[in-house]
Amino acid sequence: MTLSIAQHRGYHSGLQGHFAEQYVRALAGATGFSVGKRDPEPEGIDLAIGYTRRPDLPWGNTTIEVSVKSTHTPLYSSSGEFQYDIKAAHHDVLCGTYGIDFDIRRYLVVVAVPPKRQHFARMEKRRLILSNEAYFLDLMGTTPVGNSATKRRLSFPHANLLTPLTLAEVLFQDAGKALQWVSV
Amino acid sequence: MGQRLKESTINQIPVRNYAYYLQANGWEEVDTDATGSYWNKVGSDPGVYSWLPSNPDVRTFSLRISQLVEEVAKVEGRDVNEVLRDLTDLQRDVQEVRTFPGGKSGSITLGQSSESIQGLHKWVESAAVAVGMDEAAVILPRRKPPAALALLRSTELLTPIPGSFIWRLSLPLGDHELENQFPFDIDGRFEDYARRTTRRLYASTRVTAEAASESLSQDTGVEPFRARITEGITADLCDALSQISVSGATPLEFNFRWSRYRPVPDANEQLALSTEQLEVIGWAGKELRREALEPDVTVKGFVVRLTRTGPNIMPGKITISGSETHDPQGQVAHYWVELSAEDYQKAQDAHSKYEEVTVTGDLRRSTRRRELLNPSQFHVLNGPGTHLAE
Repeated sequence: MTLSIAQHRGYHSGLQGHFAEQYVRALAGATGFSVGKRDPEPEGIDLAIGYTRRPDLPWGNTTIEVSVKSTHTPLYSSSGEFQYDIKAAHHDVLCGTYGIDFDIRRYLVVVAVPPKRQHFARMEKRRLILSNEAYFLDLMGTTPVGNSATKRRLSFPHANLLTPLTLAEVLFQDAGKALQWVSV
Repeated sequence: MGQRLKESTINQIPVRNYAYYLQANGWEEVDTDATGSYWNKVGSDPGVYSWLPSNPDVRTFSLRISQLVEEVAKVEGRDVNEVLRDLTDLQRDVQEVRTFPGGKSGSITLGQSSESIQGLHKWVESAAVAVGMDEAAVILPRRKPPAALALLRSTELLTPIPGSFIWRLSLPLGDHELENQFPFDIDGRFEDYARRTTRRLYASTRVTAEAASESLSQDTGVEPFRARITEGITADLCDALSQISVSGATPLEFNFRWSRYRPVPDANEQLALSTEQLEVIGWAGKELRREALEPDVTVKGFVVRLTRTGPNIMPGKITISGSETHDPQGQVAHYWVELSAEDYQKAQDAHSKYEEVTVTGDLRRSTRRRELLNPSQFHVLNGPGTHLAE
């Protein structure tokens, strides 16, 4: 059976979103964090990433929640910053206040993926490459879009490229601790 | 896939119950954060933590509680509803009475349920009334202490649960945490009325089971019951247990679940009564009642027999065909009463005019007759001039 263009797009979109989640999972796992879904799942949240207490370190458990979005047509500003048009509802679920609207910090992660599934992952000699890149953004405390628009364009600073170190910084809220953690 | 719990369900659970439940069920608080704490079940995977939010005003509170209950149920291998029930019941005493009525689990016939519920009411009543009395009595007085009546009115029948058919009663507890207030209260004298009643229920049901076992194994009849009257056995309690079991048709199991805030460490044994024990208990209840004096019983009826062997200044015996006023629908029976010469004369008049009389006394039931001892307040009803002729 041949898929229509709309069916093909939907199928690809599902695959793309699934891959984006696995991309974040892989990165969080590689950074030594636990990653999973909570049941029942909070609205607009895809993954919970946590540092689990280790007996040899004096740090307590910490958890964040992330909403994972994906795009295969990434936008970049003139200064080269990654940009993403987020739907108003998806934006607003992340922009409440920590301690009032939610008790676990929330972040947006957008994964820029190749247009073709065949290029999502590539094996090189003793190395698996996951493409392409992901950025995170803290929307907590920002103004909701509400009914004023259907979308909002977000800009991600270069420093918000998701790496093991930046993910640890987001989780620990402490650059020194993050650096120590990724070098343990 | 876990469901988000209803707000109304979560609102029924005091916030402090969550931490209390976790502590009481072998969970350990590992870390705290600004908005909650991490808990791990001792002995489970040390890398798996559940999150307990601390502030119910945060909008995600009910979602987090839904996640917590789901995770607790999973780690403890229990049903979500069981965990919820325990969370809700933490601040109250719950008595579970399990019956085995046959048929499918969670089902009971209308007839059996009606009988059992009446038995449960009598069961609680027997303890509530006994707590209000100064001395042990085989038959509890008809006039109930106001505190006992108030407690009965506020006792709740909770949603029954399957397995096979489990009745659940809840007696309301005062909201004070007694242990902290009265650390010297070893024998429970400063407990509130409900808790004293529940403790009495536990203790008296336990000794009744012991008496039944002894009676069966040593073939000693009603004596083991009689010997334990000071420990709480009453005819009313025996009747109640028999009725809960629909006259011994189903064995019973009792599980006393004390409020976690006010535990009773020495009363957590599950009590069980076999149909054989319940048969003996039912019989013993009737025997105890026959032997005992039942105080302050008022009988109303017609004088059907007059006997006096001496002159008219001597007392005489009469027989009243009537019933006990506390139970107007009860069986009509003959009651023997010895009256003073003066009252005997009134009884003669009432008999000749076929007028009703009432008299109050201590009732003794034997297999052959019912006798009212220490009679007082002999009245002729519908008599000339007044309906109460002193």
